Amino acid sequence: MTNAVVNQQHHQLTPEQQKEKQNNFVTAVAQKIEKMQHLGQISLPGNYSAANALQAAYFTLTAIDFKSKVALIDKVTPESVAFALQDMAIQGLSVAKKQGYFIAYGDKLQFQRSYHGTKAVIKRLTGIKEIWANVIWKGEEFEVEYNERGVLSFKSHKADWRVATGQKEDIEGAYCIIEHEDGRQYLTVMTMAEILTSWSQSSNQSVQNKYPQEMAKRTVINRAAKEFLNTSDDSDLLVDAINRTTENEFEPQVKDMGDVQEVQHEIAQNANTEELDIKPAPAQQPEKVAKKQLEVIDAAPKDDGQAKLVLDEEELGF
Amino acid sequence: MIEIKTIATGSKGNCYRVSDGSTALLLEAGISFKVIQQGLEFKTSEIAGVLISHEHQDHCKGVECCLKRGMTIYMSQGTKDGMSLDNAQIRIIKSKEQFRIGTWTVLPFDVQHDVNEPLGFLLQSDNGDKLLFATDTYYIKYKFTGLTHLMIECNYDQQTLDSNLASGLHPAQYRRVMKSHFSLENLLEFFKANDMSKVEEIHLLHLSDSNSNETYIRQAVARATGKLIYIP
Repeated sequence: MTNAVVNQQHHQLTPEQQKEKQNNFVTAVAQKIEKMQHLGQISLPGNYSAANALQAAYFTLTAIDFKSKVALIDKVTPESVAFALQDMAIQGLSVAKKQGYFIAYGDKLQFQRSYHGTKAVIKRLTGIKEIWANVIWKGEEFEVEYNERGVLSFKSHKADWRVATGQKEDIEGAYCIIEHEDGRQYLTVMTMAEILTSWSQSSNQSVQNKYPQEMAKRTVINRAAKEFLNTSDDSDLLVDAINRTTENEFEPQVKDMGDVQEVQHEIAQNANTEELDIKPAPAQQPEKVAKKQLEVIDAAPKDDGQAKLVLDEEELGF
Repeated sequence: MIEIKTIATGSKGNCYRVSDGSTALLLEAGISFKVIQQGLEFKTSEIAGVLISHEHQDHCKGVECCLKRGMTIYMSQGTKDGMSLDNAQIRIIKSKEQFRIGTWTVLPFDVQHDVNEPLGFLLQSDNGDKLLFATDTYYIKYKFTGLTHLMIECNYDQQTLDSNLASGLHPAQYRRVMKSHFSLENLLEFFKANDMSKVEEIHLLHLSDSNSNETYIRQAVARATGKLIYIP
């Protein structure tokens, strides 16, 4: 919030000008994405319009938060906004389709993919046919085996629809399968204990208690995606962006409090940097003034008298 | 000569009386008015103004009563909004816009806390003494010169906070403390960055009951500064 205040003071723009400036900013990112596409650095799906997605993102970012009365875009640095928008566009995702969210960590904006987004992105990697996840309920039979190549693979899952109680306690685990076009399958299994460990990092506890099966699927898909992508030797921009947002996904989040390293970094960056001192008092004490000016570094005595006058008369209200 | 009297400090309430011999001010009014009266030996009419840093209850609980008694309160617009108060005796002050109360020149500055518009104060007396008051901030953006008195928060030391985390402090709370309060470690950095040559007294405020080790903090600050330390 302090940031917002400082921003306003710095720019002194009318709200319209501010909006126009922000909009230009989004347009600039859209142009950059288009250029990358032309140069063949990235390939976006045919039905994806970066301009539309960025416009939608822009509306999300400028929407005034009900509680803090500040738009997200005013809370964070412009560089981080550009970076987050790029992350979104390179992956061909849209916040309008709930494929991701913008989250402020301190004054850095980050794009965090939702699990719809993860699915969409994985499918876009060359050679991936399908990706899906299931929850294993207590009482169901789930079997895995090491196949002829020594890779853990899916054998069978005898599902019983009656045992799907929707309760967290009744989930034994979840698995995700990523299927390659040539039929090879990549299996990721997580026990409930592992899933709970992952959840303990997050602040969405209430969501996880309410919809444990959906959240368990999301967690295992993210785990699968992370392992899959991290071992993929494709080093293009898309994978970079995907990895980055997958990283984001597992970062602990506490409201806007950011994470501990972020706080330490912020302190190291900003603490004790700017000189601040009381401006010399007006003429009534000439001796003091002369003495004090020696030690004042940021002295700007020119409007001192005026500023004080305003304060005396208006602020003190006599 | 600045005289500092701590009426209350810590998360249960903060209130300090500072005087340069001519004008007396209250810094914070985070306790009930009754206790303020007692702390001031019932000489509330001597107080020329009350400066409030932010809207958390432990800093402003007594404000309404102070207003009723006709005291003048200085606070930021954000703090005023946060308290949803409206009273002609409230003066809105802004970061980096200095003003006068009696023999004091007060320069508010922005600090880092999880509220609307928190402030710290640099107070200079006409007799030359300069007092810095900063609390509920996890770092201070600014550097100061010629300070003679420091009233500064030292809420926790990392060692104690870390061991509390290990023994069950919620991680969210752990991060909240780190992103809203001043640690011993950051305070020592602050001492290094600032001109401490003229400092006479250091008052360490707002020590957390559970996250700080007073003996350790006192030793560390003494070693770093060699000044007179008060931990009220």
